[in-house]
Amino acid sequence: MAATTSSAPFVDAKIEYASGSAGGSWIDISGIANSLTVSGGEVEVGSANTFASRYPLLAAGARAPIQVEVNALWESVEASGSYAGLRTLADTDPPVCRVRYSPLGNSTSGSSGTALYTGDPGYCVQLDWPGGDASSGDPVAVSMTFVTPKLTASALA
Amino acid sequence: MALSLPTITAAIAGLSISGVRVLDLDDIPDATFAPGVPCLFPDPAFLSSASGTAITFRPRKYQVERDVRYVYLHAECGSLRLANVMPALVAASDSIISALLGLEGGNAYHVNGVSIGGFGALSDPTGKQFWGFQVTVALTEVV
Repeated sequence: MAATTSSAPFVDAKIEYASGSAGGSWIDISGIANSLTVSGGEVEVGSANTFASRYPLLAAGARAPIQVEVNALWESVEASGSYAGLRTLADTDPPVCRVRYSPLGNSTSGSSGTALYTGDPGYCVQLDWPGGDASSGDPVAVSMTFVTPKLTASALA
Repeated sequence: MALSLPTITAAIAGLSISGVRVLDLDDIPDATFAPGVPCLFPDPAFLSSASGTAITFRPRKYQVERDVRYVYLHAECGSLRLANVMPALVAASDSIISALLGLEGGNAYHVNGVSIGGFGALSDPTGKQFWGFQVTVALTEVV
């Protein structure tokens, strides 16, 4: 196999969420976000042994939910901006939402045709309240976690 | 918002520190004479470290950490008894640290720390020896 020519860093990622289950009004949080981690989605695998074999019989079950964890900067302006919107979402009961991201979604050289990963309706299960310490000049950071049943890959238009 | 060290050095030069003249970048002395001291001025090796790190995706923001150095010269060596110089030198370090830590940069910059080093005899640009110390100001800026 020839070496890939389409690998890319994650610096141009675009991360969006939408309140509710429809996902029609995506809100871009790339301007405050600085990292994204995806975990979960493992297939539950059961096993059993018989006297006839030294190896187990396997059976596949359901998949675990997927967690999308985003680290972002807190914003001081409460009246508008992405943190305030996220706060509203996280404080809604239940905090139903969708999340999607594209590793090259903000590429200045064009993102059409690159990968987009869209979550089914899930929840924003956690959003940090801002905190920090007096000795640091670092911008205040917060993290949030979205849980979705699955991510679907597609190509950006 | 853009990086602006001249804005920061101007703010430092504008500090009111009792008994200390504070100079800006465009006042760095080529030769410091006794009548000019006590004086705090930017070290010719002014910028000792600088680093920038991306802290968001697009639109991208960067956190920039910079250390800038100043020199404080109090009195020419031999012009006064050391017993007279030292209390004033220590008091000047208190005043300078307090003033720099009190510098409010709003959203433009943050003084993250102030450190003193080289306490003792220092050479001015002509090689003349003065009692003084070096001051390093650690800055954080987000642009």
